[in-house]
Amino acid sequence: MSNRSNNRRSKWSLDSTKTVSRITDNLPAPPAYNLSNIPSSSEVTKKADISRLITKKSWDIALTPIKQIPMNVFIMYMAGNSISIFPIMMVGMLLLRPFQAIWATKSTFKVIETNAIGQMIIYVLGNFVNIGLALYKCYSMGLLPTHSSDWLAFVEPPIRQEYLGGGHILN
Amino acid sequence: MVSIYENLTFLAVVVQLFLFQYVRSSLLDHDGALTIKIEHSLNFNKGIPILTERGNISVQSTRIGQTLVNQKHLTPTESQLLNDLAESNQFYQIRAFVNEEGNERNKFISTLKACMIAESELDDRLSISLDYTGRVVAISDIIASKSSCEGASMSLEKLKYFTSTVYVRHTEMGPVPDTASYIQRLEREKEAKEKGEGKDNRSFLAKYWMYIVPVVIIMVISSGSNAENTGASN
Amino acid sequence: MDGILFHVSSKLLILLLSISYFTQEISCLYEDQAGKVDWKISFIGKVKYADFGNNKLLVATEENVIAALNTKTGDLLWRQVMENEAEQQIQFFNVNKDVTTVSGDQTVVSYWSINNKELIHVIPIEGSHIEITSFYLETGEIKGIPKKINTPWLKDAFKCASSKQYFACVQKNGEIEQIRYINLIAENSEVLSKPIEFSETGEAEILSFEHEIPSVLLVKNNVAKIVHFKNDVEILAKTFLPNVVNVKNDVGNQLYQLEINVNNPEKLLKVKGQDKDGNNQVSVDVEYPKGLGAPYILAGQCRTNNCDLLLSSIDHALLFVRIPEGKILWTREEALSDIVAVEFFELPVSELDASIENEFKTSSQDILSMFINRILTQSKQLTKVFIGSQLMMNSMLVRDDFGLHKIIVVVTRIGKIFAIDTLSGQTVWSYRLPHVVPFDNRNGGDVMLFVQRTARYSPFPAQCTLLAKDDTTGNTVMFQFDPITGLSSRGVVKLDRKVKQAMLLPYEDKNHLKPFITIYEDHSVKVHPEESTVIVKKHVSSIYLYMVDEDAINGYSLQLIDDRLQTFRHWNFLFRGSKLAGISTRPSGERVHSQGRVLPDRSVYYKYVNPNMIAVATISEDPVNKQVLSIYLIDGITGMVIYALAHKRARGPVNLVHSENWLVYTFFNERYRRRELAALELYEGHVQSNSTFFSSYAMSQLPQVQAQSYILPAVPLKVTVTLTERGITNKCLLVALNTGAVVEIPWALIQPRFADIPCGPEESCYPYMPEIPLHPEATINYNQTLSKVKGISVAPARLESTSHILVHGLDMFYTRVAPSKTFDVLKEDFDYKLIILVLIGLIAASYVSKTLASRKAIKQAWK
Repeated sequence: MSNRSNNRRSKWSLDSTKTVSRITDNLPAPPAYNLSNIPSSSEVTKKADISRLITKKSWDIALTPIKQIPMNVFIMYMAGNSISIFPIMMVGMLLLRPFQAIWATKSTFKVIETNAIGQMIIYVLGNFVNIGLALYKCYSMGLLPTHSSDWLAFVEPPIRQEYLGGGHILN
Repeated sequence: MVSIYENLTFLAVVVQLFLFQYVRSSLLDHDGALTIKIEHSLNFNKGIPILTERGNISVQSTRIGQTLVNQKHLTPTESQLLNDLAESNQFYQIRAFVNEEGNERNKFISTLKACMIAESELDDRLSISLDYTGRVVAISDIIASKSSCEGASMSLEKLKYFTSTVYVRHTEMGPVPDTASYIQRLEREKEAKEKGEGKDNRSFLAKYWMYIVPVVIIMVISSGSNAENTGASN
Repeated sequence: MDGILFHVSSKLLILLLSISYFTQEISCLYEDQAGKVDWKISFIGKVKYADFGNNKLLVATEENVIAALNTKTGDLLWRQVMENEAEQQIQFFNVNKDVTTVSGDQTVVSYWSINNKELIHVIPIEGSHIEITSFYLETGEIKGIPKKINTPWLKDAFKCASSKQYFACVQKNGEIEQIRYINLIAENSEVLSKPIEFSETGEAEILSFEHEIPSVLLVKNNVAKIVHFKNDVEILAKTFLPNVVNVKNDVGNQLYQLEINVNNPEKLLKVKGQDKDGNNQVSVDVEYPKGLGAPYILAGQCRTNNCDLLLSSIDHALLFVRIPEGKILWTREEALSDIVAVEFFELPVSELDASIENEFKTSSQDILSMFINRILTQSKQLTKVFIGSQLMMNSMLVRDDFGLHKIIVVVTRIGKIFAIDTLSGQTVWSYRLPHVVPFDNRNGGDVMLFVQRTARYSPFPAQCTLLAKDDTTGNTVMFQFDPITGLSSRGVVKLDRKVKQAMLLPYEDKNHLKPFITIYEDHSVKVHPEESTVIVKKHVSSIYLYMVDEDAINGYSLQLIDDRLQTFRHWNFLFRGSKLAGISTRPSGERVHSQGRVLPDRSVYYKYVNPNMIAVATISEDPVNKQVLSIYLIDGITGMVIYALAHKRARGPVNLVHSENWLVYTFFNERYRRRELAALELYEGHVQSNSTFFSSYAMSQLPQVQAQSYILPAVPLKVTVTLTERGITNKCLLVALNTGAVVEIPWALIQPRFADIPCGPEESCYPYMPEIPLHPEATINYNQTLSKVKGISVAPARLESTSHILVHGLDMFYTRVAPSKTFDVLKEDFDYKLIILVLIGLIAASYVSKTLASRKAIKQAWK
């Protein structure tokens, strides 16, 4: 993921908080708007609110891979076990995406400007679960060289220790 | 105890043991008995081998392969000779003189690496191959081992008693073209085709459950998420 | 990821393979492909009788063939191959309006059309005494009553000859030799006799002689006299050579005989013509080819001012000489109709490639000299590229990329070696070894042909050694030659004793030459070349031999006793009264690529590949079962019978083929009166006992044997198996049938199926069919009928998919087969132009679109 989009996203989040505060400060409440529905918004300080949002956001990011799991399982189920171009592409994507995500963990968590080691670990673990799923899929499709027959082509013929010659007696 | 042990000659009754995946019927029409005198040479490296007696094998029934093995033990000098052969990676040779009922005496030779018989501590296997009438065509002395050797030395104590196993190996019946099962298979296929083209009398659900279940799951999930969304917006 | 890719590729391969299996992988030809890679040369065998008629040359041969040849070119016009060589030999041959032959012990008179090989009549004749029966040849009806002649004086039939209506014999009565003759068709004919007046000493012999007047030749001590039968018998005074031929011309009869031309080394042969009194002498010198053996005249024909003579050489070549020019119009090498050994040879690399190779071989350490050497060789290479090497351009015997161009060296029964180009079928060189014949063993003659060095190791030439027997002494002769050029540095080397057995060793000396050993009756061993004895001594413990005798097979090991090499008997196998019907070992140099068979559950069933295994077939006479065929698989090192099986009521001929871990054999089933083919396959099991070394001594477990049998709806003459460079390609059996077809049977079709494992398209396995389907498309020689096939030789090409095949017999047929199709070459009709055009177009398009895109981007940035 590029940095530009991350910056944009962080700007947007700042903007939204501003607008929220502006609405509550100056404008009268819209009709049928119940102030008590926002629990003690006035009591929570701005800073605490942002940090809460940041943690929420970070947890959101951390949990996305795990949330993807049911979807992935479903895709895998739909792909079937036959070897043809679409199932191979699907499985390839399923396998590649978690790897890419793990590589890009740091940049993903750049949005959250605080340290979120726990979330990062969860995020990576979730991706690993996805990799495991994809590998299992590969296995069930027979794409993993787990059988001895997969290595048969590399088995060299044994070296002869004796040589035999001969035939009919020549006379 | 020791003296008994010294004088003991090994007696063993062994029934054919070589296992094949498919046991084919023995071709032998009539049973016979064999007596085999075994001599061995412990000086193959000297050019002309000198033969000494090793023992006797009597095959009481060639059909069921029941054998009686009666072998001498090696004297310390013989053990030493065998060990020397093994150390210099020489050969150990046996000669078997076979007496068949109503037949002349035939001599069979078999040679193996001395180090292998030494490493196996004189645990060898004698394979007596019979032709389809039960006459002996070859006798081989072999060691069950996964690899060959290039010389070995053993303690002489271990080179004393032969624990031979004798296998009487028959000629099996050759395969015949299996026309009967082929015709059966063709008929079965024909029948299956006739039946199969009739109708599949399973219920609709039993036939197409694999298509229905995913659709249902999708619907359930999407409705669930919709409900969530609506709930959240409320 | 690698694993995935690898597996995808292996699955794809399986997919491709299964596609090729089930789309009937047999590679049949399109009409325009016929003759593109294959060639066929037809032979007739050694000519026994020849005659001219209707502008054709008609011949009858020892191969029991009647044929018509074009007199101008020597090409075969038609050929009629008769069966049962031994019993149905042609005894009499006459060309009149059509062709009459008399053949066989149970005499059969056949009357053939001269224009096509049509058989007009067959008249069987019975009886063992002399009886005269007259026929109308054209209708085959018997004329009159058969006439019997009392011949108590007829003892030695070899001293008799017939000429037209006369039948004459020589008889010795004490000291006086006389000729007895009888006019067979005259009424009340009786036996007359006349004493022979001959100044020469020795026994008189009688030969038939073609002449207008019924006549025979009387030969004594290599001097011949003509005997005319008219009313009385007349022995002409003039003497001739025994090989004198009478040719009728316009003037009268001219007698031709051959003499050696001592004076002219250019033209070695002199043809002399004269009439019966020695007048009108003609003498013509003929430029006789040097490689051929001594000639003799078979037949002649004269027209107004020229005569044609048909000569045959003792090495079975047929020559057609025109007189008075003395020119040889054509030559046919009929020795090639009986081949005993075949070997395929790779050609040497071109001079250019060789010089490139040598450039890096120089051992000089000096930089300057290396640099000079390099510049020199490279400038040479450059000139060669532009000018071209004259020598190589002429012969074109240069290795090609795929190893499709090879030289086939064949050794014929008469002792002549030929080298044949695989591309054209032309003889590159030939070499006659006088008095050299194959060893006589029961297989009908055999020679040993060892390839000691191939042409791969330039600058060393390829070397090949032939071991055969000296006809005169019975000792062994050795002939070492370069198979590419036919040059022999030492010529025929006569050994002073008989070689009992010989073996080519797998080890190379420093010149890449593989030595071979010869074993003698006294168990002594000799190494050739002698300098390589060191190598043999080093590897002495790994060299073993077996020798097949009348009643036993004996195994021998090589031992070093007092620094002398000797063989020692290691094991024995007794036939116990059975007759050996066939023996087979794995083709030398065969590579087994896959060490196991993949089962449908993706586990591996490892093959039992024993390179030392000997497959032996014996036939025993049995009182109950008539004949019993036994098959033994014997380990050639330990002598252990690995497996044995027997077929009751089965008889030969047996064809055995052993390759990889399997054995295929064909035999005749007497109970069902059909030919059967059985396949055996040996497996070690799910674990490989020793994956690094194979030793015959190390046997932890007997192999498991799978067997299956099939009905072969044809009569196989010879069976062999294809051989490829690395053994990856599927194997195919090649079966030569008595119909003249050579059929390709995929091994997958006959590979024994496991009883407990399903077999279908998913497992890439053909379901069992009891009868082997022989599709006409599977015939590798399409419509080229091959008569009396005596052998099929196979050699790998450098291209993994392809094998070279040479089928020899009365015809010689060469082709290439690709059992799994040519998966490693692009198709002939591959559209290179289109591909190149498309690629160039795509590259151009990508550049154009790149510039367009950048332009657009700039424009957008400016907005």
